[in-house]
Amino acid sequence: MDIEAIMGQVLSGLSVGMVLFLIASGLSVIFGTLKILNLAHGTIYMIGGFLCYWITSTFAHIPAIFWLALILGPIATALLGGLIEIFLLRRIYAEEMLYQYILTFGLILILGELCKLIWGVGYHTVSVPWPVDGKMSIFGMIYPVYNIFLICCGVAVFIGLMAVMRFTGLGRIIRAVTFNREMANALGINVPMVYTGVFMLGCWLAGLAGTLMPPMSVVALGTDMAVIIDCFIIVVIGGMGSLSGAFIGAIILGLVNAFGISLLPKLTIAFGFLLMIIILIIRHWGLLGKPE
Amino acid sequence: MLLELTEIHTFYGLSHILFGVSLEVAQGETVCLLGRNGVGKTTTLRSIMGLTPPRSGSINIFGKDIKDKQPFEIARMGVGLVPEDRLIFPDLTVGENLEIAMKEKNNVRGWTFEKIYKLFSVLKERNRQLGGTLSGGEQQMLAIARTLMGNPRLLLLDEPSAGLSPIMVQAVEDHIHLLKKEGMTILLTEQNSHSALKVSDRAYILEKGRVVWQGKASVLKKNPVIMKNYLGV
Repeated sequence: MDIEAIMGQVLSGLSVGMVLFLIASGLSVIFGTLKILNLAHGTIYMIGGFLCYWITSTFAHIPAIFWLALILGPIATALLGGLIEIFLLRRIYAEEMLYQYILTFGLILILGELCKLIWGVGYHTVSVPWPVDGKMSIFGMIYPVYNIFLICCGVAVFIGLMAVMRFTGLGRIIRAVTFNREMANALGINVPMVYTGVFMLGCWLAGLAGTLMPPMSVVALGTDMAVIIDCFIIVVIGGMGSLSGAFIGAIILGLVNAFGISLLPKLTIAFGFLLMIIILIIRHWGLLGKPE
Repeated sequence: MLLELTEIHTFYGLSHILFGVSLEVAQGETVCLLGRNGVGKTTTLRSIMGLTPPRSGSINIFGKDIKDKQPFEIARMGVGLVPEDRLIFPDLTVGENLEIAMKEKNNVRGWTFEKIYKLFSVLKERNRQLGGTLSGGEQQMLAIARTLMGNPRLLLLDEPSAGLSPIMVQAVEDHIHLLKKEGMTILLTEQNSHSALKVSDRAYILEKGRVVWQGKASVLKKNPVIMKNYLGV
């Protein structure tokens, strides 16, 4: 491989990695605070994709409709998340872990079938929106602007989330609730509201990723299972509940997949799992997680 | 009565912990709950705070029944709990730990940062340090200070002297005396009855989830037989 091909793989790996980061960061924030492993998180992402397709195709006559979809799609998934937290999850926090797996797995099936009912089983595409639809040259390689745009989105969201966690009152409250919900509750913090808010934030992130992905991929049933597995690999590599961990894990997985495809195409699918197994053996709390 | 527990029965899952505990605390009083490990002292405080609500019986605070109220609502009524394991937020600074417990901006009425730092001078020096890096004694001071930032009218202290050096135990006692002078109503639990009786007006002794003795702290201090029977000291 020459240097140009390597750079090409790096950029492509990073752009996919950044979309995965958006999804994984939501999964990780929800797990860190609510201690809920939301198996249906990938389905929320998929719904974001369908919403992007639905909005851009239904209102195609409106100029810059993609950008409107980028605002509305994540808001819609956040609201859906709010309903799920208030009406379903709230009933099972006190129960055994098994119940949350059954409940969130049930949501995968129900929400997936609903998507099938509404949008059918076909593949849908969304065209790359102006002004990020061109190509640009980086290190002599011609490269789609949209991929660079995705990388910028991922980095911007990462910095934004870190800033919120570190410097705002909301971030302090989330960190306190994450450490000990009972103590936070006894200090007068409205913990149920924080739970709803954090779950909505996680679903907003999944919806954002879901809306950003269609222009460089397809909208279809089944994409939820593909990304949720990648997200599990990412949070295991990076450390459960750690935002920086999810960021680094996503970059590593993105790059491993990109180079895997060009070097050993037949084994691509194995690389992510191998990486996860190695991390689990040598540092099972993840690169940036905290040992229990 | 500022706090009134009537025949409360509290469970952890299937295990029955409190068997009809009744107790009262009047405005401005300091009352201690004594008893060996595992008799239900912490559970009594958790029941009052709403963390493990009793299955039967009633709890009245400031004349209101707290049934079905969440802990944060009880906290906002003016109840503050300092748990035995302190539970300082380790990746928040000392200042942030205090700030997060404030229920209104700047605490114009009641406990301000200045007032807290005057009472707990060690916290002022460590203002920007992470909570997790404090020593045990400092964490206990921060835990009390943090709860005070919520301007409680009723303070629940769970084993405030547990695991502290004799010097820190003395410091905690001094702070409780100061709070008493401020007119704070305090309910505290202790295995260290010696320390607790020094600061308390009245005492309850719990055994196996039941109140087995109640009366003036001064009476208990002079009655080694009761102390020996129930507390083993």
